[in-house]
Amino acid sequence: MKIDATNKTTQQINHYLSQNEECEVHHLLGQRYLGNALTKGHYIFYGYPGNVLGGFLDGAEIELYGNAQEACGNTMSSGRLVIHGHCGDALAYGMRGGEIYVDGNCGSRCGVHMKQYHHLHSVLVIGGSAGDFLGEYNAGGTILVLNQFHKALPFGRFCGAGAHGGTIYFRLDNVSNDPRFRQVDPEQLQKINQLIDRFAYYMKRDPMHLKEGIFYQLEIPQINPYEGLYVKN
Amino acid sequence: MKKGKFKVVRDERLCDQCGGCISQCANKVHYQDQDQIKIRHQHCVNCQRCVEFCHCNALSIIKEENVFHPHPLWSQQIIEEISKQANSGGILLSSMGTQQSYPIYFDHLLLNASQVTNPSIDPLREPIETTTFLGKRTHDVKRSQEGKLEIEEYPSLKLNTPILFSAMSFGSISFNAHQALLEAAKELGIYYNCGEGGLLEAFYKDQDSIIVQVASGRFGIDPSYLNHSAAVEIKIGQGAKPGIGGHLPSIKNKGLVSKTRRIKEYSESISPAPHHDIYSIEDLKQLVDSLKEATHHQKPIIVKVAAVHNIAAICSGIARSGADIIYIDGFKGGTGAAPTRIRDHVGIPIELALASVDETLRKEGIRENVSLIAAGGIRHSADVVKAIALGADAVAIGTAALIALGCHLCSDCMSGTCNWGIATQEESLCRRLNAKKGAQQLVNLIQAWTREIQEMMGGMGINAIESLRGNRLMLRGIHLSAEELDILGVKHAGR
Repeated sequence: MKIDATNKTTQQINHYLSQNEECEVHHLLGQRYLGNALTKGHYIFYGYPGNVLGGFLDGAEIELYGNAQEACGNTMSSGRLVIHGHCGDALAYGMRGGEIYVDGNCGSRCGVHMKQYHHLHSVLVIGGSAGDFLGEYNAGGTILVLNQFHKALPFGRFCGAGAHGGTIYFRLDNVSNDPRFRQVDPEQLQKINQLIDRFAYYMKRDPMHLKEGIFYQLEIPQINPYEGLYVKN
Repeated sequence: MKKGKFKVVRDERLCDQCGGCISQCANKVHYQDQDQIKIRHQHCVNCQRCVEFCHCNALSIIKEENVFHPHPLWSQQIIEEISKQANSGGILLSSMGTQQSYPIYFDHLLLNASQVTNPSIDPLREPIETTTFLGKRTHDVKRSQEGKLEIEEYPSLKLNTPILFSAMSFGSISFNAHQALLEAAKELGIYYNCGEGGLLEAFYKDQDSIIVQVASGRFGIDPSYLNHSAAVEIKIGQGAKPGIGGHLPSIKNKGLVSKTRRIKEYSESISPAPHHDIYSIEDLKQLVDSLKEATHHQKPIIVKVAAVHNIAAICSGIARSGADIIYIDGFKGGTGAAPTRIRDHVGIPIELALASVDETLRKEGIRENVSLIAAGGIRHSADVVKAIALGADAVAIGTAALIALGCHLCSDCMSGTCNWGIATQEESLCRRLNAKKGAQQLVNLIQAWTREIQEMMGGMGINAIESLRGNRLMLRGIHLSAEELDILGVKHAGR
């Protein structure tokens, strides 16, 4: 089923989505909150939806041919978002499970406070680079930044600030001596390659060139950041 | 410091050495030493458990008699706090509401009563309506072309009495405490708030009495959580710790707590200070709208903020964000744990915040777009009536509800060894709180308050709580400056 989103409101489109588990939506332009809390179905979007695409998503799969704006995948529990374009700020905030693949770059405060629980393990793969505060407060899950556009460092300031769990991997063209970075071990590289294969599958491209380069992990202290900070009064 | 704050006194003439005090005290104050029960005074937090359970009536707790050199500036408490920080380098952490002696404005407000000119109403003879609806009100009356009324209705909460239970997370308080609050809310026709620690699956069936919370940690949140509720509350701030996030230590994050929060067992449960997807009123609107979309526009959205300096402007923004209810938490509100300096020095009293917000929203013509819930230091039914007269639609209580459950306000919640089975996750301690009995005590309390509210309203000649809302003519101030009276919008007593 195909839907033309021209002049349609968020509520009208979301109503169609809840009634049809497979559909394509064309000519999206700025409609916010699309696919919020959807629990099933596979949807293909074309155009430029507004903020909070796939918020509270819990099982549905949304593929977007276009750019996503702010707060995409907000507090997502499960399901999949595949963005064939760029993403704005606050991508995947509070994400507990499911997968997000972004072909291009994303803005600041992405992957903040990601988590994991039992079978739920949040995965965020960014094809290009990220802005400031990537993976801040992380408590679980995996972030992989593929640095397709070969920046010297594929994220901005304060990456992983306050994080106390989870993993942040990224690819560099050259060796880095930054003490915060640790080159991944073979076991981790295997996990990264699996993620790259999935990314390439969804983006419909050859994974081989994405596996070139040196993969690093950001050191995240897996401890209580408040340890010893407080004393009982 | 060698000595604690309290001293346990045992009357050896009455004590039969049964050892009940030893088994009741989780802080190990009482201990058996050969054939004698001895006392570690410095461990005592004054929870009164041993006193209440001593069948010989042999125990009492008094303030530690040892006094420091009296000094007007350097009090004993200040000296002890400096010493703690000098030894640990830590930020001081306290539980429950502030113990600083800031003015309690409710105690400087007096209620009116009818005499001669306007007959008072006897609530035992005539009905006095306390039913309250919270949410956006319909104020545009339109007619269709056929002349029929077209009323746009908004989702709302219906309370039989204008009181709710405030948010306390599962983790900070026990399962039985949550169950008691929920059962009482159901019976009373009011609402229980699950707090930010997720909603226990066992409670899903009672969703019509539940408010679920969306805080910055986003614990336990998925579409099922959001839809098993009567309303969704976005927690921006808490009165006891404005601008501060929350943290449930990893040691408490196990079993059902981890399952309910849906985070890994023994991981740190940290709620960042801000929501990192809300940096402006526009961003708040976005979360409000996305929650409405996720709940099919069926549930009112509450935004909870701490009372701070620019609260009127903040609430004006919240009202414009599309939120249906604003919950303002005054700085005397309780907490499981908060940095002492934040708790004691940040924020403003609820009375001033509430009066200021109500006035601003009225002036801007948007008061009917939102309902106001006031919280943070509501102690009894007169506080409820005064808060409503100052502009609240309803009030929320946390500390008073815990006291009804058996809390003795020892303010040691953070230790997790609550002897009354409230602020603990230890199974042996949790069993001490009987949820059914606790629920009955809460029902008794709220029913008693409701009767008192009806009596006070009847005395004023008001027969519906709606007519009391923002009715500041029913209030007079005493021992207040002109500035304070101006902010509160009330006249001085005698005028």
